[in-house]
Amino acid sequence: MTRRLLRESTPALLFMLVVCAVAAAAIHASMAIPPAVYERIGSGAFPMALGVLALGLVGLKALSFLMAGGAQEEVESEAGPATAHSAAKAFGALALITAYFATFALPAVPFTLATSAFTFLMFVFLTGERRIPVLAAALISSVLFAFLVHYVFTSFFYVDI
Amino acid sequence: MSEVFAHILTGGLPWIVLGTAVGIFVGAIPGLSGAMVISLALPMTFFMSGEDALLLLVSMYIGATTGGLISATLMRMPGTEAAIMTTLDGYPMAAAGEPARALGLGVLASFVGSMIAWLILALLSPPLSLIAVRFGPYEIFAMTVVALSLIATISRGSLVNGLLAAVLGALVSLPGVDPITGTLRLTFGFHGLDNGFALLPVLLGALVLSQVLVDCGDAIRPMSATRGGSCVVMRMSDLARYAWTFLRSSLVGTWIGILPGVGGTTASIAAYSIEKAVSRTPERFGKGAAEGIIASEAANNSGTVGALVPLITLGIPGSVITAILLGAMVIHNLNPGPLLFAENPAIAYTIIGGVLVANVAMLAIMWLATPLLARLMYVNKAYLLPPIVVFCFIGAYSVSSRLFDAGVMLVFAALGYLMHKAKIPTGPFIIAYILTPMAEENLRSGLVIYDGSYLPLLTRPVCAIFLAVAVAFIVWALVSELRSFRKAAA
Repeated sequence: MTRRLLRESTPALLFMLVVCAVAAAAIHASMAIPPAVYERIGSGAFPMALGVLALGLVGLKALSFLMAGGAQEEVESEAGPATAHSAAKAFGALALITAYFATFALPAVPFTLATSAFTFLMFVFLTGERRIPVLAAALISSVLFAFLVHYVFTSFFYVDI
Repeated sequence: MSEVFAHILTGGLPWIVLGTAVGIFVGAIPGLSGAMVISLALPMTFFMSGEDALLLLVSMYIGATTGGLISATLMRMPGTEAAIMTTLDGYPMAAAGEPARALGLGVLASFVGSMIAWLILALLSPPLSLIAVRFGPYEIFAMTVVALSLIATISRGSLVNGLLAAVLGALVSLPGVDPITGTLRLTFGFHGLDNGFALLPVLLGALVLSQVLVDCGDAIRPMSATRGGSCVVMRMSDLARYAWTFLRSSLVGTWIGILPGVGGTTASIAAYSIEKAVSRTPERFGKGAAEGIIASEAANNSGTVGALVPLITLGIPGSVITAILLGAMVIHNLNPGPLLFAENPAIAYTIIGGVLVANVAMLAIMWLATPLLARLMYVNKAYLLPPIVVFCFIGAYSVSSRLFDAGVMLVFAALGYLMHKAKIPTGPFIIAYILTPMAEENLRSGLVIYDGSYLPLLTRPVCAIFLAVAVAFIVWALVSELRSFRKAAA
């Protein structure tokens, strides 16, 4: 398997690992569930069956993967036509979103401040904008948006943010 | 009935207009989908009555399907997957200097298709529900198996990928309180999982936030469009001139829409192919033929409405969006499934009536607001993505005011992104996540009722028919898979 093929197949391999981990956890937990008393199958039957099925499917996928020499099959996905995609940018966005969510664990940071900062930084991150007037406009819009959202959701939808 | 319609035309009307307008707007923007906007709107419906919530969501569903034709016609970029076939003739007609007529034909076809499908929905649903109301747990289980077997058809091209996604979705639905014994399972001693993974954070993460990550990674390019006005010109003479095309495509679309798991895209492809096959001048197709636009738009809209038939009569969601609508009914305690007509007739008739009014609203909005919508399509996604993340956070957090749910959403967003990169479809994941608890609860209830015997699954006629249909779907998918494998090997 060449290095390029390995790189292209990394998401599929990672996904198979995730399925394996979830299936193994389900099987392990279902074995700890006591057998059913008043019914034919108990609480553990579905997790056990699905866990085994998942492992079987991963095995099948791994087999077809090896037979195809690591090349990913073409599938009908909802992704649509291929476009230039930067995983680094997506991970950067994920890091920003995680940081945004994490700020809510700090009671000292109000929603409006965290949201203003996040929307502004995300805009700058996505556009790479450096012009001062545009940045100023983006900052003002972010602050207004944060206050508007806070007002609408606390006053009308009674969400405690 | 009259009370339901009175409510729709008074209290429900603003929600229908809002839902249709938002749906059309989102549908017009390539990359934003109806599933995204409906998932995002779900938490905002918490404060609404079940009827109003469904009116809003169903209107969004209808609007999003129609909105796709604007960008398909003016930019050759289908706003929704179901509008792919519209690009073939819509864009050439627009590029040839007739964008208003291309849009007009599309809007008219969408409206006629939806109305024909609505007639079938209104006529077919009540008698179907009378049969469905007699279903016991085994029948409901068998029906759920049919819906789950549709995953095989959704996953055409890669059955194993679809099944892997489905099994993962099913496993994720299991933690929490056991539906029969009431004991906790698969929580691993973690109290955050006592109620399992809540529906909304999973939906928002796997469908919306994961798409945001995909969009963030994609190069945001300026869009090009055809020149000329983007107003809508509808000619009533077209109705008479292309009457058979309207009727044929709408019926094909409705039929395919009713078949769970097939969807609007297949409906428009099938109707387009039929129209081309019966045309005396098939060479015009792909070069701006009016019949091509009509066939595609009438079929995808009628397919959208047709998909509501199995949803409201049997509780079978045939697509991701109808699965989300089913989830919305669960959230609002509306007991979706065969008993919906018996226990909540107002809800069933609200959906049917709401579809009718949403169709009219769609026609009016598309006619009057298309010039504005066409301009809004060029909004840079960098302006839209940060607010979507904020709404996602509020949506997940509002479920039970826990940061845990926001964390769950983040995990499922990363999973959804990984699935996108690995070319694993998310549709089967969502459908299995929603249907598995229903399947487990009914199978185990049936086993309790029938003293642990599985035999009634084969001896009860409805169960046997449903299971035979499920087996047929699976065999069909396996055969298709084998054929494509052989073709690829040759």
